Amino acid sequence: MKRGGKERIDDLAAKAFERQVEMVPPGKSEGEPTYRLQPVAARARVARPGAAFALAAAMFAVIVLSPVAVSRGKGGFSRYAQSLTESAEIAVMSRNLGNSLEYLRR
Amino acid sequence: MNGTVIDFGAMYSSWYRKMAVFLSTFASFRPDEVEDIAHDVLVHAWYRKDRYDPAKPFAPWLYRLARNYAIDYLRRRPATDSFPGQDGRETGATRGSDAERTRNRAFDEAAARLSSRNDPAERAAESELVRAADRAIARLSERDRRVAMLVFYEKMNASEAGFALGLPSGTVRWRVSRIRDRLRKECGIDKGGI
Repeated sequence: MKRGGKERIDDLAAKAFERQVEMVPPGKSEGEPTYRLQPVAARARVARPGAAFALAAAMFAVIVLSPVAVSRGKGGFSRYAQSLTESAEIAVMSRNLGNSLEYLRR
Repeated sequence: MNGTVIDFGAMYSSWYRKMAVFLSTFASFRPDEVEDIAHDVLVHAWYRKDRYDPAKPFAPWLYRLARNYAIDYLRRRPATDSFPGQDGRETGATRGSDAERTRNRAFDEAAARLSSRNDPAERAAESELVRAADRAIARLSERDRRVAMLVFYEKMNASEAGFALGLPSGTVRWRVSRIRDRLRKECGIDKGGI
């Protein structure tokens, strides 16, 4: 390839991008007094620790506590049903606790 | 950038527009979304400024961060939030005749501001060629557009562009050669020049 053609192409492409850049309106820093300093990634991460804690607590309640209740003697089914109710209550409480912790953390 | 100190205001005014153009190469972004993401990328870069090694050039680090941020953002975004009708080859600004006319006018105004030529005929001929190059760039694949921006506009070498885009430098060189061939063909320039 001869250098003349290559440099000409590179120059034209650079100018095309230069014009695209020139066409973008100025950013928020020019004319706006404040920056929105919390990036999208940080905003998306806010709810995660509380939600993970609640999920872990709910899984613990269902997987560990329910079979323990079922395995004990007569009336196992009613105890099982009761344990499920309790597990659900524990899950709700865990979620509330998780939300409260998240609120305090913020 | 100035040594190890990264001043947010200076970084923002230097890089915001370039980031917006770079991010517009991701076809999945809505046109109105690009400017917000460019802003977020610069804020994100400022939070992570301690990770930048001042012994190395700043631009590849920032573009790499922008690319990773864009990919991460698109991965997190619900699938239903994508832009309908986006074909991966045209930017939002080139869609539809009104939008196209508006963009062409803005492109000409930018050309007039940037042109160093005094002769109107020369300036018009130059402008037409640049416009042809712009159209050819818009028809490149997303990845090729990013390569073209970093190599032709930012004057990065293959190794720096590869670092920024997560590509081996040999792949960057191959892509650049292919992009040049394509631009040459679409701008009507032969291998020895015009």
